[in-house]
Amino acid sequence: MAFINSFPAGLSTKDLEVLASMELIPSNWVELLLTISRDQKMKLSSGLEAAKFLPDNYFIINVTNDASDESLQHVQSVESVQAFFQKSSPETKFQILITKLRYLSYISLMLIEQAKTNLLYNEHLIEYSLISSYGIWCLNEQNPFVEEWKKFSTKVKYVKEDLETKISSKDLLKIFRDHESNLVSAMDIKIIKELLEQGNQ
Amino acid sequence: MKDLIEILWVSIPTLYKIFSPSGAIWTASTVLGRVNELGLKSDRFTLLKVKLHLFLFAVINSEKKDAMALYLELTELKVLKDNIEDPQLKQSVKIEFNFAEAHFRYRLKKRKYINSKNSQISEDLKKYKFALATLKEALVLAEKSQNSAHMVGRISLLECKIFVSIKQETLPPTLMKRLCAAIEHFSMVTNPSRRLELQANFLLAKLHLK
Repeated sequence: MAFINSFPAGLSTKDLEVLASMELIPSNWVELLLTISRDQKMKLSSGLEAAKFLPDNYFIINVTNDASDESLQHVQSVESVQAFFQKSSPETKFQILITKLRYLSYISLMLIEQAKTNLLYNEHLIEYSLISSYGIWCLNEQNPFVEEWKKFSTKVKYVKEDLETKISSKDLLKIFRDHESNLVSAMDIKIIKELLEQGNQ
Repeated sequence: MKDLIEILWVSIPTLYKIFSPSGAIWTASTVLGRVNELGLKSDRFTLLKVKLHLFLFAVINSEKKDAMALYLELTELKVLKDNIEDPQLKQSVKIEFNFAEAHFRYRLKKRKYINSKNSQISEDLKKYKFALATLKEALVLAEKSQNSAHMVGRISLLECKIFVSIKQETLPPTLMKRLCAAIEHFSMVTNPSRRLELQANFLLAKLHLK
């Protein structure tokens, strides 16, 4: 689960579910988290409808309950582990970083789509952002990632269990806030340069 | 990797614009700095820079309203536009550039900006007739392009705004028709642009009163 190390703000259990459904992480991520934290006595609480980790500061990760959503938990690597990850070998981290950027792209596009659907933000006459979807603001169809996004967009169940349900604007803002540090980390020029130099064109 | 940069580095400023507007300028400027630092030379990255400059133009236009900052964004855009090699892409960027420039001229004339008396901003920029000429050029190009209904609608909307502001009696013969088409387009379920639809309806009423 080194994947979590690449997200400075960590990931929520909902993120991990989505990532597993998209096959970007193993489907047995709960067991894996328990296994790697076995020596730190990380446990699942019992007697609940859905299994939850016991919130605590473990040796390599911190687990916290979400303040507003009791079904949600946040898993974050401790700073020293994140720093160690940054220093790890290129072979170890690059695929993880690429997957991280892919996931952040999915989350970003999903949030923009939902903001449009909710009429949370309306296009201005002078707009110039991905809120618009005409001319140069259309997603580039020749970009293979766009094809991938179309395939996965229905799988990103982060915000809705089915297509009929709309997520509230408040929840959209919360998802953005939860991922803000992760999004800022996607602008890290050192990492991007390293990735490009490693031949990840 | 480049495919991801192309999407993610426009998505992030957009997210800030929607959810945390005070951070939009910082984010777009940071990303722009990063793109320049990477030094990637191809049309797709020139287009990325164009998008980020346009993004900054839009945010400054609505928040800081600083004429000099907007003028500098347009100057940068002009250089980037000329660097694009693909003719079709160049044309699309030219349409956007003309539209942004026309809007800038219109708002300058309406005295909506601060720092508009700066000597670098010529007096010609502050005339409606030049704004209309720039828009006309954009319209001709847009009408030649495919899937241009949205852009033509926006051009018609701005044109109407200008005609409502001046005392000219004769409207371009196709303007009313284009405005009605724009209303229909902006209201489409697949492309709901409610704000633009409302603006277009309001301007249509104003033109009728005129």
